Amino acid sequence: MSVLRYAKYPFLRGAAAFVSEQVDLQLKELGKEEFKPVVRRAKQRVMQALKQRRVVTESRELVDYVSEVLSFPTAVAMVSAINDDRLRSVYSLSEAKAAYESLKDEDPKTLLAISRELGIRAKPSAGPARDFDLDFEDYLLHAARFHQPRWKLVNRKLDRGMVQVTQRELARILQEAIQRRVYEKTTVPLSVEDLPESVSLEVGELRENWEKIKRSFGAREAVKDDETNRPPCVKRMLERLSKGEHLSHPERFALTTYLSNSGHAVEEILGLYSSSPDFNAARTEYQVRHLAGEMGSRTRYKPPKCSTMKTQGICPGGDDVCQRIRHPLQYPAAKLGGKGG
Amino acid sequence: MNERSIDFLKQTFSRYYSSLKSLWVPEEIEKREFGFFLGKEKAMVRHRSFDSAEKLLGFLAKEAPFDVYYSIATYDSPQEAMSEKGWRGADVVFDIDADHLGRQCREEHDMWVCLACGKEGKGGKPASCPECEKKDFHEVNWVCGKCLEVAKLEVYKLLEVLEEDFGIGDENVEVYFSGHRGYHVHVQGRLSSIDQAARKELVDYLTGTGLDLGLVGLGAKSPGRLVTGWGTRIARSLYEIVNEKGIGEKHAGDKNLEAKRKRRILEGLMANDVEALSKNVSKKDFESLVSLAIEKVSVKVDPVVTTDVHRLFRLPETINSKTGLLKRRVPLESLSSFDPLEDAVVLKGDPVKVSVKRAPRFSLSGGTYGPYANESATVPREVAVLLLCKEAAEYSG
Ligand code: SF4
Ligand SMILES: [Zn+2]
Ligand SMILES: [Zn+2]
Repeated sequence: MSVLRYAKYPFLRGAAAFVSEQVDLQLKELGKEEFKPVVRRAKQRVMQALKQRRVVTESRELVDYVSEVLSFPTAVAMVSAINDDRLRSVYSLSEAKAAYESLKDEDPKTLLAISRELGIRAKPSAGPARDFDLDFEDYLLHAARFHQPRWKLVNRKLDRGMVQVTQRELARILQEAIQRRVYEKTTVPLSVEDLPESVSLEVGELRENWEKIKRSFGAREAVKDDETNRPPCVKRMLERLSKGEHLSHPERFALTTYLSNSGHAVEEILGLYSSSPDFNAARTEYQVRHLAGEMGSRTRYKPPKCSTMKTQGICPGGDDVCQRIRHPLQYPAAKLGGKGG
Repeated sequence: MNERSIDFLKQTFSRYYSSLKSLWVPEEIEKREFGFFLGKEKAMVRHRSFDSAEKLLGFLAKEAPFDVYYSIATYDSPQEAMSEKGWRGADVVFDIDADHLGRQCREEHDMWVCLACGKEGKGGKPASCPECEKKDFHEVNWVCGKCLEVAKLEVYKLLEVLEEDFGIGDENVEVYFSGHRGYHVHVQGRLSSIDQAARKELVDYLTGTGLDLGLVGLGAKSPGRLVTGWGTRIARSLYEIVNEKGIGEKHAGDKNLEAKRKRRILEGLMANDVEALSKNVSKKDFESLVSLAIEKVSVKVDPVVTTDVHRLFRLPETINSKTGLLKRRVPLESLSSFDPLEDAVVLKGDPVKVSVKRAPRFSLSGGTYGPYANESATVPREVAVLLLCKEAAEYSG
């Protein structure tokens, strides 16, 4: 692959190898004068991610391709040092989106080479020219979370394990794979002390910017659940409970996690279950506290997405508000007229 | 179930497991969780692990569990609590259960009794008692050859979709009779790393959940050529329906014209084109034909079971205490002739006496028995086991 391509796709393994043949860059040396352009561009990458949600590569930056390629691992190091999961997501998504913009018009050979390098099995389609056939396992790995109907496997052309996609769609799937790869790179633990002082000053500045931006799109207040803003699925489960009917495991999971994520205390939730025919106080308490994140792994579990609730037969069929959401927790806000959290 | 019945069953199970020279075990047995019911109505013993087939078999012969389960998942530490296990991956197993399939034969062998007023009826239990509106029933549910044929049909549908659409051929699939009402289809070797979201997509594909008619080429405006995997399937299903039942007459009396019209429609469908069909029937009829076609080709796998990556499944080649039958591998070449009520019977033996509360007429291993109502009977051991497992009888020496 040509040098120019590595500047466009610096996350490829080949890019790192290529660069190390040219310059032997160690973190410690980033403070040196000759690497100033690298640090400057790295900081810009992160700032672009924060401000525009997309890294932009101007063609003039491609002239100094070595710096351009080097700026990527440097930016990754900066993000690692700031050590914030949300920033990791924002940054990796911005890099991946930049790659998508190039990939969607890339020549098919390069596209396939990059797919291969990312572990995605694809080949030119046996069907329409310019389309691609993609192994369904790889398709599912990356596209199972896309929620538009056209991405659902059931609506795709699937033949002998291969899913037919357009170039744009393949590029979109690669974007996912790239985001994963970049995200993983930023999880390598790195402390600010490992960086030369001039660089850690830049990191400090980035961190401040990030904190400011984070506050601005900060945590939207969760709307507390009450009788007026419950989604139909939750309403129905509560009705059935109050009639003394039995709820299946997936239903209990959905109900408990919904309530614990919308402002109900564990005690309130326990009270609801006490009327259930097979109520076992100790076991129920353990389960509810576990799901609410008060025990064990201390993660508070989220209810499943609407599509999962549908598959599990928990969704009774949504109402108009449900049309605008894809997760039951978005219901109360959507009902109030907001766009959902 | 009384003590004597339990002892009888335990003895019979223990004798069976002791007679085995080897046992089927999953790959990487040491990374699997095992669970057991050691008696009827006891809680499941979970989080057990075994590092060899011999040790597991020794345990089975000694404890004679009523049911044996293993995790389709592999874990770093299978004996730990769920949050500490360390999930590595999970086999993909599809569950097909006759209970979820419409069966007319239920009227012949199932019944319910209202616990409040004693009213009884045939078939599946109603939502509430027609007499007193209470909701507690004693149920007697049986399976017959017909139930199991319906389930087998779904297995065939599943195997076809796996092969044609997913490229998962017979060499990567194993089919098991569950020992009760259905079949488990295990996919070998592939797919073990796919997560819950991906499994859900798989299941939605099989069941047709989330199918968007516009996207498969059945848009409301002008239905034409069907694309996508499902489009092809719908077209083929429509072909079969039209070919079999025809589509009402238009040119009454003119056989020639009618035949021509039907041929044109079928030729279209053969090429995945529904235009001719849609122009020849009313919009309403077209829509109901399409829903019928979808219903026919969707594969009824259990969505919850199949998407659960921590699920425990019954261990193949072990006894199912709901029937005393074996969960048994069915080689694909003998699937069509496989008769669970004959081929999964392994606890055969001399006649024993039982007192039967209630049982419909049923067949097992070539013989036909019942119906029984509060009477004692002397029946072959395997029949006694079935009656006891169904809690329809007690052992009486
Ligand atoms: S669409 Fe979602 S929120 Fe609405 S009822 Fe169904 S599962 Fe609940
Ligand atoms: Zn009654
Ligand atoms: Zn039947």
